[in-house]
Amino acid sequence: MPRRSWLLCLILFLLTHRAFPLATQPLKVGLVLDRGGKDDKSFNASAFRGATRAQKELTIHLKVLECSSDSAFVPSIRTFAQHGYDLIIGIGFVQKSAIEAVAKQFPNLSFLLIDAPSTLPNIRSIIFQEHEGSYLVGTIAALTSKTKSVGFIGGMDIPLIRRFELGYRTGAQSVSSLVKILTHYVGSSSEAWRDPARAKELALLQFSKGVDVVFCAAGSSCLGVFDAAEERKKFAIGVDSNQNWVKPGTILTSMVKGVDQAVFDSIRLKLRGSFTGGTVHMGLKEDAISFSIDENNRKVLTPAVEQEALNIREQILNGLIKVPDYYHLNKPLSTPK
Amino acid sequence: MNHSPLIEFKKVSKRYGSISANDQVSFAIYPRTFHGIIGENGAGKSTIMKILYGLIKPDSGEIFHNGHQVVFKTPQEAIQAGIGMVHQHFMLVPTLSVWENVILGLEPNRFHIDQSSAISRIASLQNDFGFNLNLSAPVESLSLGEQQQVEILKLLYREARILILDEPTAVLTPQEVTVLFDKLTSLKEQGKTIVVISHKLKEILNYTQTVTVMRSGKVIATKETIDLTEEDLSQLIMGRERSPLRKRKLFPVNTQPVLKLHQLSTSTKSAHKLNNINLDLYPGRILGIAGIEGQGQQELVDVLCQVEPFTGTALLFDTPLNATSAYSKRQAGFSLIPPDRQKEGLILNFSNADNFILGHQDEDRFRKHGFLSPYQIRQFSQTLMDRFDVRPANPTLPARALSGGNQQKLLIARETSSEVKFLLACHPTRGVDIGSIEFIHSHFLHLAEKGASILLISSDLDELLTLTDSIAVIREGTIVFESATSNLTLKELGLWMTGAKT
Amino acid sequence: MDDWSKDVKQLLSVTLALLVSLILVVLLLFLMGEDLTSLTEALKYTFFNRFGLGYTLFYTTPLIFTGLSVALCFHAGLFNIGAEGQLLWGALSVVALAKAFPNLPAGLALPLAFSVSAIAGGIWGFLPGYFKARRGTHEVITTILLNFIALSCVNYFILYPFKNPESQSAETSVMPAGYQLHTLWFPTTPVNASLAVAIAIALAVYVFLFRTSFGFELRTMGQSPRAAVFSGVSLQKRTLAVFVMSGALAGLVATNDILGNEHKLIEGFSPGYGFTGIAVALLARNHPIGIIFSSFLFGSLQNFSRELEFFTQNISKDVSLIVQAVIIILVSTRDFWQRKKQI
Repeated sequence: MPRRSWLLCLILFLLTHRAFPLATQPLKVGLVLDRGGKDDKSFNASAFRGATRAQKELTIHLKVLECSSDSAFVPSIRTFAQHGYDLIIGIGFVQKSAIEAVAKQFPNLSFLLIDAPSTLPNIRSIIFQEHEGSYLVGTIAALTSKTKSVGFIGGMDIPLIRRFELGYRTGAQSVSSLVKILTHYVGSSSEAWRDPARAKELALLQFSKGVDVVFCAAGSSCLGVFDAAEERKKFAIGVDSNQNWVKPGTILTSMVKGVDQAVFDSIRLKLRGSFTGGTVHMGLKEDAISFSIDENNRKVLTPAVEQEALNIREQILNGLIKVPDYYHLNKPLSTPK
Repeated sequence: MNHSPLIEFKKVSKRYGSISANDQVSFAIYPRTFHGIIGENGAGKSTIMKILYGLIKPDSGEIFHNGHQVVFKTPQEAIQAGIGMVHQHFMLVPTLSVWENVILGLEPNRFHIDQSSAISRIASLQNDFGFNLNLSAPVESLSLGEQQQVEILKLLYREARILILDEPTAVLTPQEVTVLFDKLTSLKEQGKTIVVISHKLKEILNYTQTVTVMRSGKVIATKETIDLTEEDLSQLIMGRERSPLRKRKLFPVNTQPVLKLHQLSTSTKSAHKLNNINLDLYPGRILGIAGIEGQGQQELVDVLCQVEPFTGTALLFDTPLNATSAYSKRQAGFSLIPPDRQKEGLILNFSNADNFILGHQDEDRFRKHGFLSPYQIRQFSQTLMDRFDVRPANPTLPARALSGGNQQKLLIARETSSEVKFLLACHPTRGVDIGSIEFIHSHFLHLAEKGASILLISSDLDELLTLTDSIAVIREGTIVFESATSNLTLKELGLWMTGAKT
Repeated sequence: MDDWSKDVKQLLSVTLALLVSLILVVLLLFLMGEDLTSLTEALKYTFFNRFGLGYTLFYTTPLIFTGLSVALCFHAGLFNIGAEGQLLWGALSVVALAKAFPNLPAGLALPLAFSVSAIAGGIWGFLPGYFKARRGTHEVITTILLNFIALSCVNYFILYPFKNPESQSAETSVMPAGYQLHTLWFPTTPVNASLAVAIAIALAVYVFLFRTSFGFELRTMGQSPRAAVFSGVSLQKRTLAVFVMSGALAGLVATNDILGNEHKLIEGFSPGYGFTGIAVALLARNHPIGIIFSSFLFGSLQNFSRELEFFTQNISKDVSLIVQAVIIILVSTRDFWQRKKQI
């Protein structure tokens, strides 16, 4: 064992010493993850994937900082700015004010903000059309459900997640108006993203009321939902990243948000000099929102259901189906019992 | 006694900063003897024994055991070599039984204790050495004298051949003291070597064969006890002659009591709640409270210090106790020498100077521009330390650095520095060396001559008999007996205290 | 009262511990295959340029407040684990004040905000003091539980009545300009005037503890409650008072983080200032002036570990946390070394 770790150190040593001296000034990209960290198997993991892909394929200098508290965003972002990073990426709506604060002080640097709109000229903000993907997985859930009863578990109760819920609800009900939809939120504070125990409890509650497919949009709390589904032999639907591999056979599909693609694309734009500010919406059309099929869920997602889902996708793209967007909804959603 | 010494110290020294606790200490302890070590507090008696026992590491010097040089790094090593020590404060677990306390630390097996064989071994020890303890009784149910026997039993169980006892009589009644020394003498007769650290002349003179006298860290003399008189010994200890207590000029009679307790009782669930106490104390008089420890003395102090609720009447300076505050009481001339000077009277971690203002911290004489003035406080304490001969007279040292006697002098200096009308003095000379005792006693007389009333709670019956005008005996929370001191003998007091006389 | 040789000795041993820590960090960097310039860069960005020093000082400020808060209680023999809850109320009260009087000029708003945060913290500190003094409930239990209550209550206000409707994050709206303290000496860093306030208060606490009879009584009661009672001190009144003062000190954290930096209250804005304050106080042996320095040490560690993470390739957040922990252990272990010699 000790010999092994020495070997590891040696390898690390050699690797880094060979990788370090880069003569030309590469594009410097700083990525600030939120509290989930790069191993959250979901949202942050996706951003990290996109950034490391860019590091490999586009030869940029990449530095990733993880933040242990919400008060660490500004210092981290500002550290990047202070060191002249060309592009600084903030992941998650929670970083909005932090990114904006620093962007104002460093108007010559470029910033990328995921999941929240911004009007500053040097911030490119990317909003995903989550409601479209949620509509799709809503239909998949309703079509797969034997009990005709599906569930939704949201993380923190905020408009972003309401947007998921509304899409999902509409999608499920489009299959049949008789489909029952149960909705719960893990909480109203940001702890809701990190509370798998509570999420599991909610999932078990929904299963006990007859739900057999549940869609979870709650960050790392979802791991609790997956656990519950595996235990009760029900289905769960993953979110943000392709999470099918987390529990093969239990995870019906995942509503994939192309954060990795968005991050990669923005870095490439910056590299080519065509990076612009402003808010960009990315949805089904840009292939930035999709549902995942791979060997892990091949057996559980039936071809018939898949075909139906693809049909609906076409109809949304054609404009035949209009998916309601919570952000453009004036009246509040009827609160679930 | 011509055989070779069992223990021999050769030029053992130990310094703490600028203070020499032991300075070139050399003397020998011979086997099968009763050896006394006497000296004032801070003379280095305990230090030299703790060095032997492996508790303190000496700076220099050698120790020989049976002619071989030894260095015990821990008490365990000393015990292995047959040396055992009983500390001034017992090291017993109150909730465990006697036999459990005896074998504690020597359990042969970590997970299993052979109760019956342990008990039978201890029982045969009791037989051999003439002890008579109930082995299965919890230690907390024993008297202090019995607890001490448990400590001795512990050492015998560990097959100690040398028994060192540090101030063994500090907590005992006169009767218990006799029992203890008889027991120790018989142990000596059975082949043990006994070393007793004490500062009480009578104990040393009556029981030991050899005595080593220490003063300021040095050995002054090691002599056969039989050759010494009380006067010789006290001269060796103090380095000067003992001056007899002078006669007090009695303060004129005044019929208005300073303190009046009438049918005073406490209601808390403590073991020795006070029951119908009636006491009157007049100006310029000294009233003694005698009693075995824990008979309600603490409760009486607590009532007078207003930390214990009570029923009945308690008038101090004609004011009901519950109608006054601790602060205004002090302003009116109330002074206190609490039973535990280290925990209740002084703050050992504070400097001597800070200790001098404890209880007077609100007085303007210590302030400048509204803030406490370290300079003024130091000046004040320097004056008092010089006047009361507190040594070392350095106001910036922490009170911890003073010996027990000097701590007590500091406390008395503070409590009597402003005008005293009533002094509650609890064990004012406990653990205090002879020189300081003289000083304290004569100071008390001086206060009484000026009209202060003193309520003296003490377990030292000699002290009570020499100082007081009258003595009340307290037992189980009740005053069982009160009499003018001139009619009393030591023996009679002892009988009242133990309940043999009711 | 003060023993200078002891202080010098203490300073020396801290320096020694820091040197040992530095060697350990170098070793770690070497083993992780890092360039050693990362260390010098990280040090530079912690102490030796305006940006770095500014952040270090910014992190120092709240720790001075909580360190003092904990230390004050320690002096009186009480253990305030509730600084975390007290500072939350302090923060909330500032936001509430800004909401109630949005148009106050800075000259009025800022002093008011300082007072209000102290008062709010003090009120929350009053509770454990009351329970301790009147009911004898142990303050460790009450302060821990009150932390949970404070967290839940303050979160409620952040999420509902004071929520910024524009934002999806759990945060309040930005306070009006009158309530914003700005950086003076370190542009682009959030260090602000509350640092000066913190240092001034540390000095004031020193004077209070060592030059007033009230402080003397607190220290007496911390050393020996019975001695305090016998010398005429009312433990109940003092317990209440010290907890209120302690809470007020913790409440002032808001002036640095809310008035000085975010200008709004974000859920979870305190990364455990109240708990770090315990370590800060212990390291300084509860000496108010020492707390300024131990806060600076902890503040610079917080900054240093982020900078180290930034300048290295393989040192992640977790590794830099380990570095931070090792340094803290080494620095506080010097007590252990000294104690052992004393026996």
